[in-house]
Amino acid sequence: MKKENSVEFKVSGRYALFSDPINRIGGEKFSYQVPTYQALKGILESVYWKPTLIWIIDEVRVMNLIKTQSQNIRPVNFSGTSKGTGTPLNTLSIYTYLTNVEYQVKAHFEWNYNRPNLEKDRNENKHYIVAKRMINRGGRRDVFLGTRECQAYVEPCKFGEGEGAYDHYGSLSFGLMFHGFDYPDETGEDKLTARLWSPVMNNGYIKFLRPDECTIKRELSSMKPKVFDENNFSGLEEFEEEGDIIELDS
Amino acid sequence: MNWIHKLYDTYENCKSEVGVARTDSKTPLLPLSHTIVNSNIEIVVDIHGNFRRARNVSKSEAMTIAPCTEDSASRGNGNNPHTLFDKLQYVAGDYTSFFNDKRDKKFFIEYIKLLEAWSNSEYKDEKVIAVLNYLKKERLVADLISEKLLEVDENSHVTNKWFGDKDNKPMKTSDIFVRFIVEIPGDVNCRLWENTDILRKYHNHYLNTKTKYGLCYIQGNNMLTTLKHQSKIRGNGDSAKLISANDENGFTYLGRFSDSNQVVSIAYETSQKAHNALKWLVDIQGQKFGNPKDGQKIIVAWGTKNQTIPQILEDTQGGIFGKEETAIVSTEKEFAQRLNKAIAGYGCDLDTKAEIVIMGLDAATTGRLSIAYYRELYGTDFLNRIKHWHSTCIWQHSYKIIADGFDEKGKAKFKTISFIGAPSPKDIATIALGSPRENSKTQKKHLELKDSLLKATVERLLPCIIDGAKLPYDLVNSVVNRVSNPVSMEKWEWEKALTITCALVKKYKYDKLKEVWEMALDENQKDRSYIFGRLLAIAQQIEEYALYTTGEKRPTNAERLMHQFKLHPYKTWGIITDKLGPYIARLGSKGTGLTELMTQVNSMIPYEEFTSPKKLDDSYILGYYCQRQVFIDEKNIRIQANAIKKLGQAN
Repeated sequence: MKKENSVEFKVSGRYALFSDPINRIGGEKFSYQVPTYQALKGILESVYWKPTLIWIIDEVRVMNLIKTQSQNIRPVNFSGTSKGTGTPLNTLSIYTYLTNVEYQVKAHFEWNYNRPNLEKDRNENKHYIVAKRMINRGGRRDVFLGTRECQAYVEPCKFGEGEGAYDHYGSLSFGLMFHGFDYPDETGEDKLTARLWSPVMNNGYIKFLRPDECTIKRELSSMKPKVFDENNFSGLEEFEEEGDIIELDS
Repeated sequence: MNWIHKLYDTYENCKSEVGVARTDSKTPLLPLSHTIVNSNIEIVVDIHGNFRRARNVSKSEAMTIAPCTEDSASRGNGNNPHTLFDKLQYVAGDYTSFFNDKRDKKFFIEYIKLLEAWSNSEYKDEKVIAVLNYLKKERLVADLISEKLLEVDENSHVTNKWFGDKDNKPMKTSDIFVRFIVEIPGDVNCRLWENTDILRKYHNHYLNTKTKYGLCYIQGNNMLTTLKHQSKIRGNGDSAKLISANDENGFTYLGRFSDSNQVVSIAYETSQKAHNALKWLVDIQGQKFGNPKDGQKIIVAWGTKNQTIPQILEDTQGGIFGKEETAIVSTEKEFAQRLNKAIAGYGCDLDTKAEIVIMGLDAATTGRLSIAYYRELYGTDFLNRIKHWHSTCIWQHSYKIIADGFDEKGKAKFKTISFIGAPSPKDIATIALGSPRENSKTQKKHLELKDSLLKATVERLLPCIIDGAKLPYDLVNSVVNRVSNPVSMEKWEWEKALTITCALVKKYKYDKLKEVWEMALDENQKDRSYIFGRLLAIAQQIEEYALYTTGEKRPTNAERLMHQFKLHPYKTWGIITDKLGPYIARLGSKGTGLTELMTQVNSMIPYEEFTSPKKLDDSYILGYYCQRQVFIDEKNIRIQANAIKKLGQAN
């Protein structure tokens, strides 16, 4: 990495639900007050991602007042079907969402050295420029805030610009919170690990710990990294010098 | 910080309350590894385990703190004994010979196993060993029979006859719950359930039996974990849990995780403390909505150091001023002073660093409890928001019924008081959305609100109180429409609806337009709707007065046409004045004052405004109320003056 490849964007939506695992386990989803590292990483990966790189979220800024709203929900109960019609049964739940959220996010990418077969793809300028372009376009895939039903919108922004609701609030701590998962393709170890940390929001800004700096971890299960090869990754040939040049119009 | 951590902190801060019996028969803050049960019979043994005596326990003293295991605390039909006090089937070795049911001796064996494990551990207690020694004799039921607490029939089976307190009667005699006293001469700590030493010993012993360590997601340390969390948060019959994992087939947590253990892990101690604190708070200061059978909605607000805080979902009188003597406050200024004083009183306890948590609990199903509302606020912030609500959403109400001592026969007496302040969310919801129900005996109508609607409306009003949100307009609109139809309701309820409507309109106008509407009549108010409202009140007064002179009693035209009047003021006013003719004639010279006032008020509206087909704005109800109140006040003064005059004549 020769230059800083930092990207900044704004993500907003009417609802957000970053489930607290304590309530999530029973099915009554209850949102954390602020987004988790993993949720923001997922948003950025929806905007632009290649197995060649790992997104690292540096900082988030909470722009709007943290407000919640609970909604009664009728989720599908997969454990059976109704006897008469064969349609799936339903259960009832109450989900608590954050409403009217807006976050400014600052992030950068690093190479994933656990994928040696993609070494030739480590073209910093290319990925940086595509990432910027994808943020301008609002992302490649659709973006959501924490939970699938909370549709979100990505726009470019200047980090720290504009007025936020917590600009003069001082510091606010959220207790121990989920940070993210260590997946085997990023750590090189064949296991899934959960990371936790105690975030502190200073005047609306939360500086994230890097995943490798988190000390509170819990190993969950063994897991193998996903393999990207000629069967599921068409771009590989592009790196070979003799490879055909793929024309845009062909 | 998250909710469970706040509850944990509250428990830590209130440790002095742990296990202390309360005077108001509410649940005490429970020690760890203990649950609360109702005992029916108390057995006294000596230190060698010899039976001394037994007695029935009355309802008022039945509450007992019992050592339990995670399994027994959440037990259903299985064989999960508590560790020390339990039902006959567990504690009585001779249960099978006196009760003719399916329960066999394995309940007793399982129970004794637990008690022996405790008695052999390093945290054993000689009094508990005494109980164990007694129970091993397997003659508990026989002793109860010889003490005449139970009765046997000719087959020497125990009958269902209960000799004790009727209010504390067990479902069947086989369900009798037993607790123990171990008497040592000169020792006052003989009641095992109040002996903090034993409570502590049991908790330590129980922790020792646990082996599974893991990361606690709340504290971040490696601690003894638990998979079972408590139910009964909203009360004894409640089986809903805040933390549970039972969906082993669906996709509630499956997917990335292959079993529930991977999702989260929580320390036993954290879970126990947080749940005990929540149960305690819900019982002593939670506000409950709805029927316990269908699951109640609970709103509970507390300071993490258990400071006194205002009741957030009460009207101003009950919630802020509380039990203090009700001084008569008749003006807004006096009210403001009083509110400031009351808020300042709470402020002594709640400094800027005090943490206030407001939590709403609700369940969509019977098994799972959900957090439907959650806020953390600093003390001063909280008080400011509460004060804002209680100083903007106000009117003078006269419907509140409070207890007023007891009469000669010892029956509770009630009286209706008048107060200035904000109505309670429950009253607002009922007036706005209730539907009329007729009492089949008295034929009297009153408004009734469905539980589900009540819960939902209270939830919508909560942000208006706590977060300073705007009042939802549909509620304002709904109360205005309701009150515009006086003939549909009983008089008292309509009066109640009227003042609540005024409070809501005042609040809404303030929120939306920053207008401040006075509670007293403003004769210079030029607002079209306000003046029309005043006119309506005058027309009603003329007709009422005329009816009164001849002793008739029926709704006036003004009341009957109120809703039409709101929609088409000009057209309806024509009808009302037409019908007013005979009444004015009947009053003769007595009515001149009123008719003059009517013309005077009428002339305040410019002609185009007066004839305009526009419907009236909500502020008409304020004009109506204020003008009407002037007449009521005048009447009261007249009555008083007459009474004084009469007294003077009598003397």
